[in-house]
Amino acid sequence: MKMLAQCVKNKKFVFSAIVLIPILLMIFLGPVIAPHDPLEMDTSHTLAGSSPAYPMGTDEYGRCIFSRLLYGVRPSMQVALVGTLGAFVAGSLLGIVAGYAGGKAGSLIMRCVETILCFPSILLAMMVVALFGTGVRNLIIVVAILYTPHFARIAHSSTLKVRKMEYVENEVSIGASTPRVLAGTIFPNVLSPLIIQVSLTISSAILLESGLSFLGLGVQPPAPSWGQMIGDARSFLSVNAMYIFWPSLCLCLTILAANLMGDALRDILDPKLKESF
Amino acid sequence: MTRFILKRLGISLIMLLAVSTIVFLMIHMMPGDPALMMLGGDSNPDPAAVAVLREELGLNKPLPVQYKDWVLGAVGGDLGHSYSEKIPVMQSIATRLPRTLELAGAAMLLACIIGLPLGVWSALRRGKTSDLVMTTGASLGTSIPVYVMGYIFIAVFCLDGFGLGFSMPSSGYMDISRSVGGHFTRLVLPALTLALGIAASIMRMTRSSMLDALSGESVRALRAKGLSESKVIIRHVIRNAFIPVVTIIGLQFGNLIGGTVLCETVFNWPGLSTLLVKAINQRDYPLIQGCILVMSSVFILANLVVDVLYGILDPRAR
Repeated sequence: MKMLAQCVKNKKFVFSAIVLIPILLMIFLGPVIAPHDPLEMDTSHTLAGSSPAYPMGTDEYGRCIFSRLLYGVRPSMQVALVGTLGAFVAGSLLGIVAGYAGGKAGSLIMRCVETILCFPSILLAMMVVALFGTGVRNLIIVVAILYTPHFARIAHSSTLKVRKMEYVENEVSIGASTPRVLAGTIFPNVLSPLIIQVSLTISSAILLESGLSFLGLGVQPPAPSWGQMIGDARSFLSVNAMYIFWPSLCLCLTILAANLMGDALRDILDPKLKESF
Repeated sequence: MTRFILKRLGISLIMLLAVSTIVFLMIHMMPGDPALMMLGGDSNPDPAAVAVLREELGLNKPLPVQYKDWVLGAVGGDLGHSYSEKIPVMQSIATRLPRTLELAGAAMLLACIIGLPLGVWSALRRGKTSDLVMTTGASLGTSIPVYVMGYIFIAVFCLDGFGLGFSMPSSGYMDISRSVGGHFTRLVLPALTLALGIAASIMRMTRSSMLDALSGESVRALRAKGLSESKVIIRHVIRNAFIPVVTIIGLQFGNLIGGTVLCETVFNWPGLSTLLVKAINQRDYPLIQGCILVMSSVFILANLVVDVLYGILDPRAR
């Protein structure tokens, strides 16, 4: 309850919740709200401005931009949320095990995980997609692999601190099994920095997915996604500027909200840390 | 100091080896026969041509031998032959790498020129309206994807969307030997596009690092001994505050190289990234391999330089 009160008081949290809740709802409600089929072409109204029938106008094939935006949320969010979840699970597991094991084995695990950081992330993603194909499933795997080291590092350094604590020794001395200590005692105590990382990773993952889709290497047409719509709209910048405006606005707002959520969670969960704007 | 530099150098070499191994293995983990895929995937290419290509790519040799050949070739500057461009991979990379490096370098320079002073200023004006405006701007700056920023600039400066009365070239590249002015007018927009997001991160880090340094005990002592405020800030606070900023600048190299991929596409900049995108679309595997290897090496090298620089600035980090 106290936590909730803190959340409501935090302006950044409130702003990002106001933006993110409708976007999350759109994943499920998008198809219900959408006035048109996102693939339906109306060749007599191509690149039209907004009208009662097409609230945000139409694209070069006469498809409803508003409907495409609503349908486009789903693949982006699927990639960002499921991918981040995968990275969270794999990274925390590896980090906690490495931190608790310590010594050579621990650092070996960490070095192996960190090899992923030798690549600029979008390059590794482009290579995986180029070799193993595009599509939502592959993008999820890419996001999970790319962001595992970030979670592993945080879990590892927190575990190193926590495992020396008396309550952990206590648990071990009464004969708790190692998995029990890891899951029951250590995991809850290293959770807050990991949660902050979750919202930052979601925003990076949205950025990555939309960037790949923009290059034509992400969600494949005709299924819409925001990055891909921006990529398609660029050729019509001088004809219908609103075509590129709407997906860009949605994308920027979502990323901004996810970033601010990270800042807000840092303020709330980690008050010892210095203010982060 | 020498030991520290040698150690960092060793780590970078191991990273390079890891990168090359991963790049190599990934091509071989690819589902299907690379030779078949290169000759057109599903369209049943001529089996004789596939056999020739397999031989040429060395796919008939055992994997460790192929790996050894590839690494030795790469060290000697031979990254194989590009299929779409019909020239050695190294040759097409060599013409494009300097352009990407120029774009990235110009962007980093601009980002520092914009980010550092704004961060210092914002920290000194903490809590005032100008601070609020700048920190909000920085939050926005880190949230706008590079390519959206690029199209905003194109709409404003090239298509003259706001009636500024002039228009800049929106795409392409002009060699500096042809026209110095033409070269730089085509460089400004992509570099600025790439710089703004990074400038925002640098600004945020500078601000919080400045606030840290300002609250230090030594600052109080310096003020007490009667040093003027500007001397305290310039000689002492900024010096201490900039050390952690070096790390954040280093961490931004990944974003910078990732950003060039998108930025070059927006502005049709004929650099390494547009080459990579083209190679991916044409399934030119040797070229993909080469581009990724070279770009990752640049990234690792940049990190090495930053690490060493950090070690020089802050002896505790050695």
